[in-house]
Amino acid sequence: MIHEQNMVRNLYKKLITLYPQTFRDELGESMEQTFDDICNEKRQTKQGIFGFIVSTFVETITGIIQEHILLLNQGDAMKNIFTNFRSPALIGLLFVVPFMIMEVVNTQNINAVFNVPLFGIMWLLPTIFIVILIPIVRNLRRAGNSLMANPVSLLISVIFLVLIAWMWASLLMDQMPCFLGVPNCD
Amino acid sequence: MTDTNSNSPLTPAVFHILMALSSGERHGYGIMKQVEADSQGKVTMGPGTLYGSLKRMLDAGLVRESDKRVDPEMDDERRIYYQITGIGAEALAAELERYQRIVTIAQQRKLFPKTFTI
Repeated sequence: MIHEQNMVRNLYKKLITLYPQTFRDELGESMEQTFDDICNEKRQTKQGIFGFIVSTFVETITGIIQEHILLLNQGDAMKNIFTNFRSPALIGLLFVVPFMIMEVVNTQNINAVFNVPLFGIMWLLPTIFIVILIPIVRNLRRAGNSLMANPVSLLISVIFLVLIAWMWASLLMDQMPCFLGVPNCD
Repeated sequence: MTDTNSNSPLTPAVFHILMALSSGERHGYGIMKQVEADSQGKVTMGPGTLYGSLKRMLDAGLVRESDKRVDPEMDDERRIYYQITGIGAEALAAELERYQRIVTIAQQRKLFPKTFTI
């Protein structure tokens, strides 16, 4: 039980690292502490901790996305979120984590958990999507409606974006039974 | 977003946090428990919502980190306590006045259930 709680705390700690740097530096430690406080309370009162963990993780992931969107809206996006490959990679991870959790929770065979190639592709596709999207958003922010200045480049980017989105959605639909724990899925 | 203008309406999360801090400085977990108590358990706030709101409230000057720690021997010294600022108190008062005006209008229009009296 203690081992599981430590694992959950470590997972939450890792999750907090997905917040923007300024947020993490200012409030990250307090968030960890508060999460520990709630875990201790649940343990002492012997309340079900599973529902709390799921809701807290979902709520925190929502918060992470909100904070990144806020940065984007404040115009600090280029400085804070898309300066390198790291942020797209982290955001890409947010698209995979819920399905990893679903598979862990629903699977009956613990040895079959974490199909690394599958989750790798599911992470890579949204990451590439964001990397392609960055210059489009940057042009839009800088030049207003002058996106059509280079229509061929824009068209190619949009085709790639649609293709990636389609691949990701197809993969998701194909693998959804496995995430939901349907026996003998592949 | 939290506006620094104390006349701007507050989001429910910001309102509850200011209410919780109006009775004294608290750390994150303390704020959560106070919000839960103030709302008779109807409002529960997770860490994501709480700290997202606190960040914007700090930026807007509605709350600040407290200098003193409450009984450090009994508590974790790294724990950060928050306290309401003058701007935060004004914003809370303005929001409560808004609520009061709404309640008055609702009373005049007899919108309350018969069992409910103020």
